Amino acid sequence: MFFGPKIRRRYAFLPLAAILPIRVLCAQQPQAAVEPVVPAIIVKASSTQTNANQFLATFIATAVRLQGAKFIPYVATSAKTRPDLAAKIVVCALNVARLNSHSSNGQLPLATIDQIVRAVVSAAPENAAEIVAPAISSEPYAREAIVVAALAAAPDQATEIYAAAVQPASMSMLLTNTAVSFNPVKDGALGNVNSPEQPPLAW
Amino acid sequence: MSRVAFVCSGTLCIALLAGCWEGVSRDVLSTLLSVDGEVVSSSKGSAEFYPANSQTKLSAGSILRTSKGARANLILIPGALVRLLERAELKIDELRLTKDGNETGDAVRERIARVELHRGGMVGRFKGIARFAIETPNAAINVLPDCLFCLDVNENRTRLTCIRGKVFANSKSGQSVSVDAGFVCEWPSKNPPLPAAEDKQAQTDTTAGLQVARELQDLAAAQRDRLPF
Repeated sequence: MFFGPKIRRRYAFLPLAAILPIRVLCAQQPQAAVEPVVPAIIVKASSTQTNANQFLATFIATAVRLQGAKFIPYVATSAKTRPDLAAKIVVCALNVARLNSHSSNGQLPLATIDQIVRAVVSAAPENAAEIVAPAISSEPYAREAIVVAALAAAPDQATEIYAAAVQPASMSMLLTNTAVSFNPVKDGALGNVNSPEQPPLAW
Repeated sequence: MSRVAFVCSGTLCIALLAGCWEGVSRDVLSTLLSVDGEVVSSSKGSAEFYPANSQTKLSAGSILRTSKGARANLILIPGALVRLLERAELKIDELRLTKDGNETGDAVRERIARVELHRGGMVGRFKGIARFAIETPNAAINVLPDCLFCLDVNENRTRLTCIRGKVFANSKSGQSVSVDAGFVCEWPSKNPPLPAAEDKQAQTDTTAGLQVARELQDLAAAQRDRLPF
């Protein structure tokens, strides 16, 4: 033996001491560095001064960083700042929410859609009809939820909201047919499927 | 007693080191989700191009070309969705996954996608844990997970707009830069990334890229629905 008993005892755990910190370091992945400050929305006195594309680009750049409770108030503030862009803001907000969503079926939760539509319509109630139509085109499966949210936010605009909700029906059907390919379950090739899960009622 | 401790610690070390085994690596194929317009592809080592469709399998070495007004949507590896815009050429360098032995569950240790964008534009949506690298004539780009970006390449420059997440890039001159969400960067250039809101093209790319990401997600979801279970 090269080592005496004391030395052996002392160095017995040396290999462990060398490896364990490495394993611990491997387990502790470095957390994401502090995010740089997001360029703020440029708010000017006149809406015409601010370029629409510039506003939307800034809106998207900021919205994609916001999760949970901060997202909806930001959408509302943006729509209030530029009510003329509310229709585009609602579609961008829905698309951003999809990026943040972990849904595997490509659909947003109805509660999220409700919050977004309600926030945008509340911020620009006079444009409720212009907001509802693109929102339904974007999320055709949530037509009922969108109308209910818009009515709750702007009850005075009920007639316009109902009229806008009827129009995009045919367009959304075409969009769905082009985007989604043949599915034997959905197309009924397997016969009537008896499931406790039912699709949302058509409005 | 000390000998027992020595043997035990040695055994433990071997057991811990066994966890560092690299696993089994396999080349994989990308899935062409849809094509619109004239899109052609060639396989590795072949100079002949054939029309591409949803049955076309693209492996390492394959080249995908789109003509004017055409576009192609594909999944390189799970989570890496790409739309190739018109007049673009994409070469797949490597598509590989490393898994833990014979595991058939989720024991995938690593996914790698390396592509070259020779010309044209592409929109990428990357959500997942993998290494996703894009080589262009002017820069080498490493895409971090949970990222959405637009990339445009022509003879003179490479331009990257990061819409979500973060991208690291190395220019051919060796300059490294990180491009965050809401910023646009161009190579060759010595300027740091600019806010996308200050650039007209980047503004359009941001809005369009968000819509493309949504369409790619829809196509990927429809592809999953096609599975026979």
